[in-house]
Amino acid sequence: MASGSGAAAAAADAEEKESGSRMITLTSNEGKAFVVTEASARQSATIRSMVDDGGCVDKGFPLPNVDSKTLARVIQYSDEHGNKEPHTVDERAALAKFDRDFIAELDADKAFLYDVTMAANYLHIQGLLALTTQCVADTIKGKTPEEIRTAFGIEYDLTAQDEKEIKEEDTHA
Amino acid sequence: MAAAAAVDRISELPDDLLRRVLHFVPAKEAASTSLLSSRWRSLWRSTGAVNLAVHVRRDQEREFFSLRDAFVRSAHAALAAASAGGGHLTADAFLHRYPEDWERKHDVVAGVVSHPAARRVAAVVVEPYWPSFDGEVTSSSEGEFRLCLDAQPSETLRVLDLAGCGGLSAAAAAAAGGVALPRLTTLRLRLCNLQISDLQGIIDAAPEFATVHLESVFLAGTAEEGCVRLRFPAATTALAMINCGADCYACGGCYGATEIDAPRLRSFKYTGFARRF
Repeated sequence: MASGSGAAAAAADAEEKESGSRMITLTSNEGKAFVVTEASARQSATIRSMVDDGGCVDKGFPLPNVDSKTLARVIQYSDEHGNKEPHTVDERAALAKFDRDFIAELDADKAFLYDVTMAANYLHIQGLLALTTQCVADTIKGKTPEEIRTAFGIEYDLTAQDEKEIKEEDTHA
Repeated sequence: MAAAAAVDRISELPDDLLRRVLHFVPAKEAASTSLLSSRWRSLWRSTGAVNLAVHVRRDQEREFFSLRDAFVRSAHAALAAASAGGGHLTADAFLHRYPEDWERKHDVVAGVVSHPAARRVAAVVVEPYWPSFDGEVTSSSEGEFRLCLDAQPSETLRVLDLAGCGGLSAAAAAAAGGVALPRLTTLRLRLCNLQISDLQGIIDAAPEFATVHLESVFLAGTAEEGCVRLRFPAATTALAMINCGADCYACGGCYGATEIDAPRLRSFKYTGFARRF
């Protein structure tokens, strides 16, 4: 928000009230409070429905399933997508670039990527969820089962008999 | 977090999230995930998703037919496996290098999606592997395949997402005045080249259309009207037209008006930008 003075600030204030753009407090499971714009919070269908149902916006929303580190990252996404609506080709390109950089950073820390995926799922932030699940899918693409196991640290616990059965029931595998 | 790589965190994700991930993975690899571990064994089968992918590279042109046959075979097998639930068909990628080959090849996608098992799919997504494309389409950017929805399942179809489509129709159904696509709510077309009357036919056949996204779509057959005229059902709430072209632009001046039942979308720009209602 630009800090205007006098009439400009008052006009911005009025506009904010009109569009219902209040500030909303989200609290992580560690009790840390994050204040975000309503537009940003509304990226989450979970919070959106609570707000629209006349939930107590003033008291804020505790998110018992999300830790501070994850919530901060999720807010980074929803601020970018909620606070500005892209209208021009350039703005759309800028948002797409933000998404690419955002996911590239997460991809480097898989454990954190899963935390963000879980949070996006819990908060119903569809755009973020699509971004993170696509990223995990990209890691699977073009790999053999052995390579996928290595990439994700999956422990092989099938017996030879299991494997034979799976191969029989599925011509793909 | 440094030790995270050694710990299998992905298998701790709930089933529905892993299924979501598998939706984005081509069928071949997705199917192979059943061999990862007991945790993954039955996941792929329960996604109901078939993500078909084949990439024909230039150096594989000579092997095209064997690749194609293998693709169609595996596609049908995958469809049959996934048809138990409301499937999600994603045909990802045909790279057709040479224009003269189109006639011989474009039937592949149609051949796959006309399989009886496709009758129950909820979404058809076709995405050719194509270098990223900027700017407006012209009539020379040809589609890669034609799809006739008359031969298609429609009772369950909810999402139609096509790229590189050179022809799309539901003509027979529309002519019969029937509602051929009662559950279709989302249409997304990219890099397509369509007759405007065909597009209107699809729209007319789907009274529940909520979202229409046209990106780099070339609309032919608009010249006599002089502008783009499309009627959308009352259910349509979102319409985006990005970098679309039409042959009426050749006559200059007219940037087209698009009419929709509820709110009206007017004067979208020649170079294209998105507007939403």
